[in-house]
Amino acid sequence: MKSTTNSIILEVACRLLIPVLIVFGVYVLVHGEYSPGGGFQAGVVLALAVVLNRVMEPADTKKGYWTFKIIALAGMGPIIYLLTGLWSIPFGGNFLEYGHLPLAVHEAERHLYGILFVEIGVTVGVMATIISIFDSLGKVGDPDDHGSLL
Amino acid sequence: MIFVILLSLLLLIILVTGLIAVFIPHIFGSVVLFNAFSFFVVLAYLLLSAPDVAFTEAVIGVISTAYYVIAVRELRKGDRE
Amino acid sequence: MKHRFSRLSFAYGLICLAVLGIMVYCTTFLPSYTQLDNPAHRNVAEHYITQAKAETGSPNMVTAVLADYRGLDTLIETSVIFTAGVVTYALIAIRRRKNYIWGGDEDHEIDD
Repeated sequence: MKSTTNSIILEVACRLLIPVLIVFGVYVLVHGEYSPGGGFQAGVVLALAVVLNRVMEPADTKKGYWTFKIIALAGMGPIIYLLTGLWSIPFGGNFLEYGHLPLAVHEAERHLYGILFVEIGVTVGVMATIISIFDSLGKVGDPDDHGSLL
Repeated sequence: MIFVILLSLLLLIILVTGLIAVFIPHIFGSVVLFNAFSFFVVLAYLLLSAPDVAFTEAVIGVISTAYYVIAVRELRKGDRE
Repeated sequence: MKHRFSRLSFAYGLICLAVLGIMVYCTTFLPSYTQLDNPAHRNVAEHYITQAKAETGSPNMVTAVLADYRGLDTLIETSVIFTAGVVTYALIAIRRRKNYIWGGDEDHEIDD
């Protein structure tokens, strides 16, 4: 049976670390209004989970990564941000004025939802950008790469 | 007073770690020392009561170390051929 | 991997030390720590500290300033990060692909 990982130590460590990293990234994202954290940090933590998975894979893997899709996902981040900003304009607000979002809650809570949507955009952009830079540095389209990690 | 002493010590460690990371000839040691530099910068930010910046610096230190390790691997592959 | 410092790198080190000295000298002109009347605390920070919780509903003042008061800056910052990713892909990854779109195959031979 062909081994699916680089080494057994990396596999066991990553099996523990990756779910914790994903949960912690989502926590940092949605709890960013109340505690230290926010979109940028959540994006990097979520990208670290994917990067650990990339590091765990064997050096002679033939699998190509989804590079064009990940660049498109990185472009979705600023677009989500921009749409959140434009969303309040038909309801009588200015660009990025969250108090006029059409949500049936109190005005200060509308600000919270606006901040959450904006930070989801930042998270998606940062996460996809970091994964795409890692793939560019590493093994993209490079099927005869036999170097080990160190 | 203890604040000033701790901060001065930390800034001195940051200076020494950064200078060694620049001038060391061994390239992987430079990467590791840069990681240590980033960790002491995190401690300095925490001491100056800026946890948000400290969190960002910690996360960026980890991800840039991953980038540098991959770049060093690519350089060694170029050396071998 | 042996590497000896040449005379040129010694000169570069001297230039770096000179720039470092100039920058350390310039820090003496900065306002000192923990002074309430330096420029960072005088203009708009008072309003942010007292009104951010009531106006944005967010207890974390950093997030309130970053995503609400200075939202346009964060939008441009996100697009700058996206630009960094695209430029890295264009400089490094496209050059390694088999169908190298900007030149011939000989560049690929030199590269790997």
